[in-house]
Amino acid sequence: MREENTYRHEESGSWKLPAEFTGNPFSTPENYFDTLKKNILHQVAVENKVGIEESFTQPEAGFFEQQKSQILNQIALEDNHEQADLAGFTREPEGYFEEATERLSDWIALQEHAEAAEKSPWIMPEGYFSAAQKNITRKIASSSDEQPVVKKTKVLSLSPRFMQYMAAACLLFALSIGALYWNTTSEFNYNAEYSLSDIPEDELINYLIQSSDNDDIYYMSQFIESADDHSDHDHAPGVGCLIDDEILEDYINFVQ
Amino acid sequence: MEDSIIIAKFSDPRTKEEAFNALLEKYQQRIYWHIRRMVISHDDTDDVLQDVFIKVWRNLDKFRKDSQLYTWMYRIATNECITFLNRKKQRNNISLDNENSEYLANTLSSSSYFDGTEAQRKLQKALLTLPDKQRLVFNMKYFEDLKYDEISDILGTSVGALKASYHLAVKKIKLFLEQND
Repeated sequence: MREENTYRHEESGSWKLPAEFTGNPFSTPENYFDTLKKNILHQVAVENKVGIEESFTQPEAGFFEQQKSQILNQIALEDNHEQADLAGFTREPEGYFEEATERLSDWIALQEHAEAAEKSPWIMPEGYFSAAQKNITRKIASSSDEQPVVKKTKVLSLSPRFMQYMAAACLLFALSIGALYWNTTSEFNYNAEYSLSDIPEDELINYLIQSSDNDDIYYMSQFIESADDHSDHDHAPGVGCLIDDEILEDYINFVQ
Repeated sequence: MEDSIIIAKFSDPRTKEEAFNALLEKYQQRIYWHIRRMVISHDDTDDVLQDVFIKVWRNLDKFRKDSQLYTWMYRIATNECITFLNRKKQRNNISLDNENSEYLANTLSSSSYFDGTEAQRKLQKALLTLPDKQRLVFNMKYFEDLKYDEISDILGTSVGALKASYHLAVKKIKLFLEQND
């Protein structure tokens, strides 16, 4: 099926495509628009009945991770049972492995405690720590009764010459930081300008057209100068100085 | 059915489906061709078009009537086209419009629903050399005969910029057709 005639040139301005380029080259499968309507209405009906936003609720956190491990454990257990059957072994009593885990962990804790008790060979006298506390507090009290020792502190005087040297060093440091900063920004500006010059002119024009409006165009037109006019050295050469006059004129006529 | 009647009936649950039916009858072809001229492939157009009408179904009750109904639908369709083309670029690791045009030109060549002449194929290739937004402006102005005000409403771009964009598009197409004669 072909598009109905939308190729109306009469009102669209002076430019028209030559005759061989007119007409719609695209086609669609037979009865496409009838089936399209049915498909869309069907989708809409499904959405309407199910109420997609409200039909499902989120399970609680960790549900899927827990479920995954449960399923894998169950699979592993069933595999073990199968293999045991095949090897001629009888199955374990009910609840054997759950109880075994608990019994094992109790036994391990007991063993660790016994080992720790055996390891330490040192013993100490009875009541040692309480006696030690009393001795320490007694010693502290007796030491506070003695005369405090006054220590003399040394006073250093800074000579004027030393101050001068310090001031000069600070000034030099500040100047070097400033020079480094200035050097870096001018390099950045150079790099920014250098990168812009890599971009083709057409791309820049397309970008400006897509992102500018009437006010921008009038603003930019202030900086357009004739390529032959070099008399005014106060102003930098304008953005339009390398664009052909005819193209510029067409552009300005169309935006007014 | 008038747009105002469609909107009124859509807001009533009893006549909502009837209104949507009427809306599809009235606009589905127009929106289809608008999308098709941008994405070229019929299958891709079908996908985008269905997404557009599902969005229309979900959001028509929120339509504020500050523009025409078809302008609002065109805006949705245009945004979906741009989103679709950008997604294609990302999937195919394409970073420039030029490379996307090559991809669309290949789609054009391999499409079973393209039965135009060589001249018409050349014109489509010329159009594919334009940046997506410029191609949109050209399609809407030349093929769909929309006014600059309407295009401005759809794209959110000023009339001046649209005129300049259309003018540049015409120049590029002329140049392409002359160079590939």
